[in-house]
Amino acid sequence: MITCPESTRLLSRGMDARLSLFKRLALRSHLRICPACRRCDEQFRFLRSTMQRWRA
Amino acid sequence: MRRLARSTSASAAVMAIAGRTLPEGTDTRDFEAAAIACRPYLLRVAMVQLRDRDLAEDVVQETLLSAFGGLDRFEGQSTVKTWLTAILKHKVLDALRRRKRDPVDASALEGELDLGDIDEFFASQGERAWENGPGPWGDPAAAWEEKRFFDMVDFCLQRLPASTARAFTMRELFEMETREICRELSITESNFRVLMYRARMALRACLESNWFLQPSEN
Repeated sequence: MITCPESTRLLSRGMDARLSLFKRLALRSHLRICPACRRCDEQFRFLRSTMQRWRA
Repeated sequence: MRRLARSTSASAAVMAIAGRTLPEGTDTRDFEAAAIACRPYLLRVAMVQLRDRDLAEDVVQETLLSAFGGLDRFEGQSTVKTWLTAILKHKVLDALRRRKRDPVDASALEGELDLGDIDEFFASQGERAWENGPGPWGDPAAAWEEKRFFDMVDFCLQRLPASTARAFTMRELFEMETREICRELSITESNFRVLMYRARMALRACLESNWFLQPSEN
């Protein structure tokens, strides 16, 4: 099982590159049990949408 | 170089054009006014990238002049603002290349690559669960309707360390690919991942404490 720091690093990495199957599975099982990291995932995505919105 | 008026009080109509594609046959003067209305935004982005007021002013000036000169190449596929962002990207990259690699930047980068401070968002023991945040943001997209929210975004970007801010805005505003960013910043792909992680964690925390969890703001 991966930790929250590891999970958030994978969340960020996954926004810039495709994660390996192993990493995707590890991340998915962590997110399933961790509401805080799910929230972080949403907030990271929100940051991306915000930047797109800013330049539009 | 010809200086354009720095303090143009753009009308509401002009501001409306800036964020929209121009219909065919739009008056050139309307386009120019729309472009000048984007000036504060362009300057903010240039400042995030260059951290030097004079240099940023010059780069924005070049961007606007280049846009006015190449108006015929604007195809109305994107908004004026997005089109200007693409031109600004090239001007910023030129400016960064012209500037000699700063030894201060290089030593600062070492610090940015050390995630010790970011680690403090998590408990030091056990499963390393979150200690500070992430809090509930409600319906965050509602913030886009408020101009002050983008002032806060700018504030949070300016607070990031230099290379982190550059990498993040190159990726998210200039929409550059990882490889291209690594080449421009002379960093490895692993460095890039660390900088992007630092940027996202720090921006998340900055917007959380200064906007989303500020009772007075919402």
